[in-house]
Amino acid sequence: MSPSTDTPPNKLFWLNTLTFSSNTVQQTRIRSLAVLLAAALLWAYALPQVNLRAMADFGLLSVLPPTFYVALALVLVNFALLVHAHPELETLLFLHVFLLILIFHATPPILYGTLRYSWAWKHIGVIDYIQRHGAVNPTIQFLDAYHNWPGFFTLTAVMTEAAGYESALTFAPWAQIFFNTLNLGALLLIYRTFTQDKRLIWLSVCIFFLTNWVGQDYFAPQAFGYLLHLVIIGMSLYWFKKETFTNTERIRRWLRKAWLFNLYKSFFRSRSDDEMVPYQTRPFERVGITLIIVLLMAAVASSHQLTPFMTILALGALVLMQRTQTGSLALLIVIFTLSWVLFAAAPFTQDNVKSIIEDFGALVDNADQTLISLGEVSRDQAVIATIGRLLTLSVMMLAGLGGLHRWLKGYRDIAVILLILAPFLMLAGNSYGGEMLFRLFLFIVPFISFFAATLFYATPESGRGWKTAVFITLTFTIMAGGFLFAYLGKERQFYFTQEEVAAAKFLYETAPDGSLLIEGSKNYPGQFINYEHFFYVPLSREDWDEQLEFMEDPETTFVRWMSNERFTASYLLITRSQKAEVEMLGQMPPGALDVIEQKLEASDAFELLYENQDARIFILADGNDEEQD
Amino acid sequence: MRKYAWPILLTTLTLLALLLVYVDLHSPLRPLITFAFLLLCPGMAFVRLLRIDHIITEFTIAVASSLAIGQLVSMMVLYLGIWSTQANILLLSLVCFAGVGFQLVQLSVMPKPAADEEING
Repeated sequence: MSPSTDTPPNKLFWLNTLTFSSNTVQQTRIRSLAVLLAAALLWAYALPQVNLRAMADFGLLSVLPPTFYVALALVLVNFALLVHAHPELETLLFLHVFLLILIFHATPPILYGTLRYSWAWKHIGVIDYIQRHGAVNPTIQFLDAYHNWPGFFTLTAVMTEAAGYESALTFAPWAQIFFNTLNLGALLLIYRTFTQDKRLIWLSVCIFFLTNWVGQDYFAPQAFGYLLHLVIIGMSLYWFKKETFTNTERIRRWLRKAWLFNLYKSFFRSRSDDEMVPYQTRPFERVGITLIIVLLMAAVASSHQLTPFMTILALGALVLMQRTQTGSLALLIVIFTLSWVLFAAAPFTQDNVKSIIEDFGALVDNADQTLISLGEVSRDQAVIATIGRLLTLSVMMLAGLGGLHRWLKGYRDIAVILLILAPFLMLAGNSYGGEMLFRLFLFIVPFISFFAATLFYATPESGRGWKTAVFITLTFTIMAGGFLFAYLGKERQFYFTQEEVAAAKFLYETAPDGSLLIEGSKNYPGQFINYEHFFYVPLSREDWDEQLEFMEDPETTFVRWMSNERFTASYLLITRSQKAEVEMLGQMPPGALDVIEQKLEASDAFELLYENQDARIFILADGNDEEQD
Repeated sequence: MRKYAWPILLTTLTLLALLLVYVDLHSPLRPLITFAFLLLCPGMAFVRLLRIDHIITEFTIAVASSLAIGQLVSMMVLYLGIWSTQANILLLSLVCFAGVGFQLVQLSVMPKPAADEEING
């Protein structure tokens, strides 16, 4: 790949120098390393200046200093220039993307010192259960899905105990960096099967990390399953790529008309000009690769509900359209998945089969449940949600234009098209708890990132001029802005202070088995110790009318609930993060939790068991004798 | 000698992990060694046999395989009702030793490099 030579050097010499075009490789290396070092130092300088207590409704964006954004800009601009002029310097490109991953995904754990997202705390709770019991309970009342698909949790329980840690909390906050770095490797494997143009490969990678805002990369079975899914797809395409179509005679007879067959051949021409030539595997290698894919599939089928179906759809599409030779492997994952669903996870399947059947075929409903109603959330959260949607639509539009551009240039990226379309079939299956659209986007974003990149580098010969580098830089700027809002804009609810963690820890370690825990909402560091011993009632999930009722008179309602002799003790917990969530998402009337808190404090029927800056725990005044430490 | 670097590294990490877990030594290095073992060894023990020429691809597949093997072994131990860290690490160690064994066999049947390649390393 030679630098651009289509402009007179004496007119645009300064631009060529700036864009590396006239630099030697050694100069480029030195300059890029200097830029990376500067960016890393600026990022490190920015972090101690953040005052998390000042975080407002735009999340971390409201408290990050300008040097953070300068660091990010340096990385992205230099990457754009480097990928344009010297894409052969892959180690440097890797370092850029890795620093980008750190800036996006190491910033929260470094700043917070606690685990982000309430769901991640529940995963800690399942691991804690396994550590204490050495078993799972598929019929457990709470978090039963995890006990029926326990693979991720058994693995992390082993990791916790082998490392000598008491809890997986020690390493869970760093999961995003771990999974995103490995996803980088998986994406490189996949993209290398689509094209040999390194500019296109690395630009696709960077676009992926700038647009994958859905936040499914945290300490969870989904992130684990997603990584394995990408590796399965990559290995299937890399080692089992089909070179030519078989059964063309059968298709010719079926289509009958010669023009139809010619149309079919032109559409499904075996591969694009710059696709990887099918790898010639030796028998021993073939067996080894197959065994690895089988292991990955077994792990996916037993660790996550949704991912194996996405893998089945992706592999199935690739096999049916003769892009890979992994027909038997596609069949095997169907067998693994159905076996797990019907036998190992039978308790869960039996309990939920009715809702699964009801959701089946309801495409619009399944999609609609994902999207929050912008009229119900706070103004700033409506802005965040809108930006997230715009980012998604923008990258899909770029992908559409890029894919069309590439098609018109004579390239047939059939595998890419299939991998984008196949997951949409899941919309017909289930709403997945109201998250199907997010998960759909997660599984197609690697491939729409590729098509978005082809807008700039459709062919190995195109995009050589300096204007392409400028357009890429502008695109990066817009994407990065959208990503920051969408990914870090909700942190006021996702961030948990040390005080909130201390309150939750006190509660879970103090409350006797069989206690009732009334929670302002589920959004707090909850259910991470002894979780199976308690009953939970999140106030934010009660009907609106009931919420108004207990806002009006919390004493009457909560005395009745907490006096129930069914429970050994009763507690009511209200935290800062719960208040943030219900306010941002409009889950309760405005100020509801503050009002409840104030009324309970003023009430003689209740006693404040525990209090710190960010959390309060109430008990009935004639109830629990435990004193706060 | 360089061709034995990976078998030596994998064997060393495996033995260290076994020692740390079985003797329950609490050392600042324990997390590093056990994580390196769990995240790399079971997968790399077999992935090295495939002679993948792209280092990022090799590491990605090795770590993904290690995670998958670790998960499947841990689930087997759980469902058999013999849950213990030692059992998990022991079984994973056996997997690693098997893979290293295959690597040594492969290395022994590989053609020797030419004399000038040996001199140049």
